[in-house]
Amino acid sequence: MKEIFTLLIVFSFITGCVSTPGIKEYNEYAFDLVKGELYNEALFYLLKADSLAPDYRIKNNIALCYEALGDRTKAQEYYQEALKLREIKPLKDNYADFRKDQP
Amino acid sequence: MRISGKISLSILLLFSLSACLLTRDENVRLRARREPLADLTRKTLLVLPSVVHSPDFQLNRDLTQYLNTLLNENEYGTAVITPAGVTEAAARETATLFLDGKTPDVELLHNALADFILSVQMDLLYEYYSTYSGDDGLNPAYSVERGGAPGLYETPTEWKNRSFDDLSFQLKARFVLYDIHSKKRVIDKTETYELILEDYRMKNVSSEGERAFLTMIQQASSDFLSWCRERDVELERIYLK
Repeated sequence: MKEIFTLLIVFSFITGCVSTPGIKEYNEYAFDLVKGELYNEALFYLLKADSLAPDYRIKNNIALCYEALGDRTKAQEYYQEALKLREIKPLKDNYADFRKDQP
Repeated sequence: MRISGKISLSILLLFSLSACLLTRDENVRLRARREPLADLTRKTLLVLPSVVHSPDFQLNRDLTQYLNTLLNENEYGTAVITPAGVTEAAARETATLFLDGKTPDVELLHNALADFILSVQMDLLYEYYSTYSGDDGLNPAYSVERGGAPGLYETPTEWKNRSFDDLSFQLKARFVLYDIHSKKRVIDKTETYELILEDYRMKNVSSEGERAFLTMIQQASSDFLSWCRERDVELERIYLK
């Protein structure tokens, strides 16, 4: 019984670390929309996710959509917010590529 | 109890692995719309002599004239003119000033008819082996003869060694477009192009090099003209999951 209880705690901890409920689903759905080049639609779900809790992944993905839609000011804003939350390599790479890109 | 513990541990491991796989980041290609950087429609473009840096390679062509011919064939009905009433040295000096970020007295160019002034810098370079020799990846510039792919029975080492028989021609082209009416630089962009000549020892490097550089200048001119219309560009980014 003790083992099962520990297992449940560990499992809920892992799933909790992966994403906050709601955010993950929005992010997954938005990913399919981004792949289909439906950036406005993806942005709708990503902004919804962003309103739930600050998440560096969501902010990065919002920045991507703004970049694709040509709004560089908003893209920069979200990249910087994401980097404030966590400085990981893919995020830094995205931001570096964004800055390097000459419109 | 011990067996159930092991099963629980396996399930936990499985969940952790699947969680890791589900949170994998993905590379995405974004199609971004780009607005025109300048409106060249039925305008007059004054092209200054190109500033060419070619430390190791001599071309028997007037690159400014070649570029002007290419730019003249545009879809915007833009008239391409060259400076009149000034010496080539003075025009080249003006071009250099533009490229250095300064704004010279454009009235000196007698440009009453012009709407835009274009200064171009071209750096022509070559290396004795291609960038392919740096790693095992395919180089997109390998499109001349073998398309970047190894031969059927070629080992990676042989493939790599083959790159030392190649020459890599590179063009770094910078375009600075100045709008005379708004007194602003509307374009300041640098692009790099590369073409690889395979088995150069068996070929005439001079004529092949000239051909490569002219092809790349053609591409650069076409890219410059494309910046003046609405267009789609492809961006590679990482989607975080």
